[in-house]
Amino acid sequence: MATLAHPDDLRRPNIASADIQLPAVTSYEQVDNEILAVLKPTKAWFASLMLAIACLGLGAFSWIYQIHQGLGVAGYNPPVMWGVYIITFVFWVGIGHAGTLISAILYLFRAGFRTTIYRAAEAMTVFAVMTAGLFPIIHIGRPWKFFWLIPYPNWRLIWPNFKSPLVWDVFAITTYLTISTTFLFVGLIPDIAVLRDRETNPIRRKILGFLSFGWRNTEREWRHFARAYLFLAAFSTPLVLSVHSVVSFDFAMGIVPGWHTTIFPPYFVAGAIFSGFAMVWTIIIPMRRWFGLRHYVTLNHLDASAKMVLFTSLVVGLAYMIEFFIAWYGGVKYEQDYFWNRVFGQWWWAAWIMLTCNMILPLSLFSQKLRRNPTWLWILSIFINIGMWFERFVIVVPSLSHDVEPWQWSSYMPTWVDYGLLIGSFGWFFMWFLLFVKQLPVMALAEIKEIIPPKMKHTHSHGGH
Amino acid sequence: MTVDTSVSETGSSAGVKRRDFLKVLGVSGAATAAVGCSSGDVEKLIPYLVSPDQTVPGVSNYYATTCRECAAGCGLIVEVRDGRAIKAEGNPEHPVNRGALCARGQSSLQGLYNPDRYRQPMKREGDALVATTWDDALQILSAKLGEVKSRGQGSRVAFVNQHEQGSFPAFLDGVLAGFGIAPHLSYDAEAPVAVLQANQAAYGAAWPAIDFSAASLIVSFGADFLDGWGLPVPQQLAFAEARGKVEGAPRFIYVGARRSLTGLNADQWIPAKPGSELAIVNAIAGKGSAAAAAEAAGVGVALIDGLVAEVRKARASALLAGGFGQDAGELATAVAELNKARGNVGKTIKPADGYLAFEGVAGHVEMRALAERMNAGEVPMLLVRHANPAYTTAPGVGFAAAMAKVPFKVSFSSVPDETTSLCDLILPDHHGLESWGDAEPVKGRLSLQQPTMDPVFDSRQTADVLLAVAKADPSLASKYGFADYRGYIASRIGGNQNLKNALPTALVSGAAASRTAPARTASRATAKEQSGEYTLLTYLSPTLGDGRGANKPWLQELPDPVTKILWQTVVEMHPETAKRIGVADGELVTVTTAAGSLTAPALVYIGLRPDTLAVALGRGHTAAGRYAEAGENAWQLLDAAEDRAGGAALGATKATLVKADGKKQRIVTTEGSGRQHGRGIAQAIALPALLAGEEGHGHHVFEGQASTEFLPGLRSPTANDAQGEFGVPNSKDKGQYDPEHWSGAAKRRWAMTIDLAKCTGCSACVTACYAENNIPTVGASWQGPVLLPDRTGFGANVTRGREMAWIRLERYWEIDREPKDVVFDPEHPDFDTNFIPMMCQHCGNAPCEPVCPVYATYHAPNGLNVQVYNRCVGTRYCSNNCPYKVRYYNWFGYGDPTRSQYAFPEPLHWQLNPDVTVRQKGIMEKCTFCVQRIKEAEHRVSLEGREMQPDEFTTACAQACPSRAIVFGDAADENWSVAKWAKDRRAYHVFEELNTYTAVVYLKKVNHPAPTASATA
Amino acid sequence: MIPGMVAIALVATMLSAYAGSQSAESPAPAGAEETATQKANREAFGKAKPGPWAYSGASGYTNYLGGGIGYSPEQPVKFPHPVHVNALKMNCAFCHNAANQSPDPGLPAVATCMGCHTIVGAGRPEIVKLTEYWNNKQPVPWVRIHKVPEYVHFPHMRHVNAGVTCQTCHGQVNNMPQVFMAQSLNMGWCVQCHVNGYDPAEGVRAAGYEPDSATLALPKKKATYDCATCHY
Repeated sequence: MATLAHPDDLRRPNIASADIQLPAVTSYEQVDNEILAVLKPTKAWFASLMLAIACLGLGAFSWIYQIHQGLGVAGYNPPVMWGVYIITFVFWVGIGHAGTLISAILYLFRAGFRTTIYRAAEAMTVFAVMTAGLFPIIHIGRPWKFFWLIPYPNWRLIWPNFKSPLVWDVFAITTYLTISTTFLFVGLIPDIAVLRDRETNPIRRKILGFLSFGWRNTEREWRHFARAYLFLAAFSTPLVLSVHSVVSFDFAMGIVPGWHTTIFPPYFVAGAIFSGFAMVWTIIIPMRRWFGLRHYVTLNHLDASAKMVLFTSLVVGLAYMIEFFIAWYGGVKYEQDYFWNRVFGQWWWAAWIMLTCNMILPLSLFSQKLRRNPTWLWILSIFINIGMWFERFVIVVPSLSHDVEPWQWSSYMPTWVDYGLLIGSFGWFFMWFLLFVKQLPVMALAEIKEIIPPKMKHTHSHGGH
Repeated sequence: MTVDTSVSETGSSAGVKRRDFLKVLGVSGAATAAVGCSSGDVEKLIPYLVSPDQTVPGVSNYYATTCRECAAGCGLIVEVRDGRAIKAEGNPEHPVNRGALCARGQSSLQGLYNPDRYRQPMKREGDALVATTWDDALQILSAKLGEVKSRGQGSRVAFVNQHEQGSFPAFLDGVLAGFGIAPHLSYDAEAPVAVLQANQAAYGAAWPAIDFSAASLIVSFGADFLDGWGLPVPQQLAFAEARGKVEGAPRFIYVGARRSLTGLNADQWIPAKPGSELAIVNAIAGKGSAAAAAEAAGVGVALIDGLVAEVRKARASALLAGGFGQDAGELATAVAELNKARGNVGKTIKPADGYLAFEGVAGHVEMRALAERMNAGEVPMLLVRHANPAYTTAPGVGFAAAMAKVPFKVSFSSVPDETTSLCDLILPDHHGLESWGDAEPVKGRLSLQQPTMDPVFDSRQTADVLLAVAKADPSLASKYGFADYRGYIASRIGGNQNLKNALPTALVSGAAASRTAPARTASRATAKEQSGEYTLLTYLSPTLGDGRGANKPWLQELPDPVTKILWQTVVEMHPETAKRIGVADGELVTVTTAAGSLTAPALVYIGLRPDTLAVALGRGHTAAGRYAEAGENAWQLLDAAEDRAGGAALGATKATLVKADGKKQRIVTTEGSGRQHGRGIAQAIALPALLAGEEGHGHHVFEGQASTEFLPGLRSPTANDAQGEFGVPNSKDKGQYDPEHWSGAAKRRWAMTIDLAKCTGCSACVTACYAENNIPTVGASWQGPVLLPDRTGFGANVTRGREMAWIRLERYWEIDREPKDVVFDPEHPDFDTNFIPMMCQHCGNAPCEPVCPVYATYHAPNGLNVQVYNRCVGTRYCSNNCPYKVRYYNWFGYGDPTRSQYAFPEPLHWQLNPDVTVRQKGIMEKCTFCVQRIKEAEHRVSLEGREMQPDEFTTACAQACPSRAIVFGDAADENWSVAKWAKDRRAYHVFEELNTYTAVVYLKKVNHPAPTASATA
Repeated sequence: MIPGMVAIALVATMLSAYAGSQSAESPAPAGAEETATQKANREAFGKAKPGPWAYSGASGYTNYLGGGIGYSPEQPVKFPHPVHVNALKMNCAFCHNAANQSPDPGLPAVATCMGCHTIVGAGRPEIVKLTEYWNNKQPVPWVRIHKVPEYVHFPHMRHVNAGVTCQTCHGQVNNMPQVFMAQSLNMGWCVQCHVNGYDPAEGVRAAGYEPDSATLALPKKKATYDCATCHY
């Protein structure tokens, strides 16, 4: 039983330790009141929602224009046949990873620091995958024929080509979306019940009642809930690894120099977790400030997650180095030319943005001062997001523009349509997230309550009253 | 989404003669099925009114006729489907082109269907040309001619005709004489008149045949016999044949300041200053010292010594003089003398079987004289037909301005151009493919010209117009016993029956009506006092000629074989020159000559002397149609200097060069990197090495890798393809991939061999492919995005490398550094160049196939890598994974008439091949090995109930190739010639180390180094 | 995963169903009075035997009068096939004379019609219409009924020469007062026959005759079925 410590106490938390305390949180009522206070809409919130929708509008216009005119309005410059859309697709899938990692794997590992952030991370995952899922459709030449990638009985008597990584993608993404949505929802059930109980409006009450499956907070329900949650956690754990591995196959299965390498799956997964945590920071750090939740997401939590980021950053950095080593060691002329071109050729700037943001800057996290400095973590998270976007850029564009056939070497310059859709994707993502934070608790009430010291022996927790 | 190639009710505008069209349209069910349009309109089936005899709807007819795109007079076989000419191919029996056809001949169809053609007669009202009727137009013409005649001004009237051979010139002069008009001027800005004159004097034949095969050494003094000098097709056939011999093939040395396509095909390049060729010839002839020649030429004396020695040693040499310097006449004479002295005449230079293409051609000097007369107000009436002197003369001549002094000007041109736009009356002529006529390309052989289809527009053949006018004049009517010009042609070869009998081949023995060219009146103009540190070469574009091809999108989009520039005019300069004035590729520079100045992007070209600049002629029209406006007009730089024979001296203008205030333009080129980076794509081997049995450079052998030896047919790796054994190793049922399958589909292996020793890089195959496969041209400025197009003004397509050519000609420099860093070494100026046509390799183990999520691309049992357009959703993964980068994507709705990017504005879409799908927006396309021709052949043999004969058919590129370098067929059947070629000792696959098992086999180019040292190494 | 896939598959199926039915003409107003022709058609349709195989690919995805089975537009001239074929015993190839030599079956030129009809039945209203077309030198703008899906090459002669009866694909046009579409002509339908083979006997039955012993003895005719057979 820990003593009530000051929020800024400087204990070294152990990432895997389950007993991280929230010293400033003393009672269940406090939890409910403070966290559910977030749900009250504010002017700032409306403003940002409008901004998000405006961005989405720009994206929508760009897409409609592109569908009408043809993909030529985007900046493709053959043989660079993949560009901003695929880059952004991989980017968002990557973002989508942290959620499940935090809520599932860290849950299984009993890593306590996840408790206060996993709900937001999970929501982020769902919305990120929703965003990512759009881009393959935006990217293809005849979006109205997209369903041909899906195996279903049809009057043409033909199936998709199951050998194609793009078909695997369809499975991977849809599976991941389904699971993470389910996982998010199941975790929400007890909290929705809390909302229901506090709801005065009868209609909303009905809806919330339905969504909470009439949760009555009984021993039996909790037992089943815990089992179900554990099961889903176990079930979705392999997905964290599988999804981005599959996405990496899009490249690794090609024979394009710079793509054709076996290191991609682990390298992509690490990168995904890396970028996912960065995005979690991008979201959580402002939240804990604006919504006054500093004493829930404590510096200890950030510190712990910073260690995860540092670790994955090192993995990613190692992967970069290994790529170069293999190119040299493999002795394939095309690979060697390409990797030389990557850092010193036409695309040096992109490569160096990537290396700086993903490899060099995160090294700052070796300093505990910076690990416990939210402002720095937030700035760093932005850099990492940019860096990870450029990592995908460096994989996609330079490889294609510098393929084995010198006569076809080319350049690539995105147009306003590409940028419009990129911005639109952020609009789409944040629109959903902003709606989420005002509808459902951004932190898991029930789990937080589990870790604060019970007040009296004879009262045991009733989910909120 | 997609366009329907059959012109539906809404498909054609008022301009087209609707009813005639319907009459010939017939049922185009097959066509519609092939290209479907998913519009909800009710589709109509339009039957014939009266079915024409020997036509079956949906089956092509073939008509033999004569090509009129240049003076050569090649034979054509025009494929006509449901009344529409859809493809022009060479006539195999024709003495000139023997079945081959150049890019310009291919694109005669785009002249026929040119959207900017005059659709009816026009007359001037005020400043505007307005449509009128033929009756009205003919009345005006008769009245004017009558006026002239009655006033006795006939002798002062001038008629300028695009030079053509055959009986028409004589016929024309006859009619003109009736009105007391002097014989017409037969003008051709492309004719090397100086050489013609010198040859006539020396050999007694204006254009002797050149037998390269008989030669052991070819030396060309700026004679670009592969890009437009003389008769490109027969010369290329002979040259490729000679070089194809490999052993005993002639060595080729090119002397000239700029390496043209011809120069790039040479084994050695001696970059002599313009105007110094004569000194070199004299040195060879012993009339001058090599040192002096080297001094004059600005090259190392060793080079000249070597040249002199080689020529003197050569068993039989072919020495050729180019025709566009001010001293072209003298040079040509000197070279002819040298040929005589070396005993080449009759051996390699064969006056006996020469070509008559340029009989009676008029040169630049006549146009200048005419302009002077017009300026003096002596010309009461000017008539032009197809010639465009207002564009193709030096600005000093001031032809356009002089025309203003002529009271009445008539044009018979069928397409607008600078000259016609100044005329008062326009009587549009039929296109050559709609007309009757004849040509006598070689002595005693008549090549007939017959209409291949009903006229597209309300035009009339000029000969018939003249006939009508003549008959309107009672005093002349009696002279013409025949109804129309067809009758005239028939009467020349002994009546209608003979004509009927001759038409299947369009060849008959006989002679064209002889004519007398008017005597030269003016004397040559010599160059004014010129200043400028550079010599400017304004050369005839190998694709657009003197500019007459500029309004044909196929030719605009066909990269220049040397610079690989399309749709654009650039100023070529040596990298050193570029460094000197501090510009890089694309930065604008201004070239100024005594005549005028021109601002265009700079392009470094290593095949050019540092003291020389080069600009291609033919672009930058002001009034020649929508496509012709691209680029700049280099004629504006031309000084009015002329050679001895009065031809324009295109290569003798002094110029200054300055950087134009740092503006930049994207270079419109298909070239990514001009070097192979040691990847062995276009491989070459020196003859000695080949004979010694060595491997050429760049042959990859990797330890422990599967053999990449080419094994055709069933023993080939096709069995390993994505759908075959590799795909399902332990499958019981291999379906149609099973060699024993009843259909025998897997018994064939369609394959292609390309002999790089023959390929000259002329790019005729590219245009042939455009014509056969409905490939859209994408370079016009309006074909880009509608909102915020690129600042380049090129519609964002060609500047982004989105051209769609299924087959492309790659041109690789064999140099050890980037072109921009090349320095000019007068001692060793030489470098090798390798051309290679690159198209879908139809890999047996294709990287594109497994990655397609929807099986839009897959492997057919017969070895074809098939692209199913309507299954493609456009993920473009296949293109990423294709090592050869030969897949092309429809970025816009090029096939959709409702879009600004539409590539076939009416009536260009009449040319579309009904057997080939017009691809829609958002899908991938690529070379199909002309699968429609394979199918057609299969249909034919099944109808005739027989087996397919070896080499029974071939692809469009192979058919057109004027080098005969491309061979297509079934490599699994020993009887097809492709099977033999594929086993040649020079055979190799591109990127074989990628285990793609390609179906395209290349044969290494063979270099012929100097006998003494490694001058070309 | 499972629910997700199921949901998507459902959506996809519906989409493809939609895509499968590209209406070539706006459907007839619901509850419209059945015309005599439509009645005759309905009966003829009942009589029409199915093709030589049970499967009819996308019949479910094409809608009546929507370019699918049963599509039967009014023609500018009401040409009665039954009279010409059944009564006058004219062979299909008499008018559609390219069907055995070209990808394209060919329509009779107006001149061909006039060959007889300058004398025969002149004065009958439909013939008068025809004669007007002829006198104005205008072809008759027949409305297209049978059309394979877009991007497909369908060489008639290969099928005709393989002995496939016209009725196999076109139904018993000889019994149709106004021609209607008897088969879906979609890809699954074609592939079915190419893979399983064409049964000559069934073909004869589809034409409304009883196959003789010789025909019954004939084996099924198969055809190649890789995509490039029809798509290029």
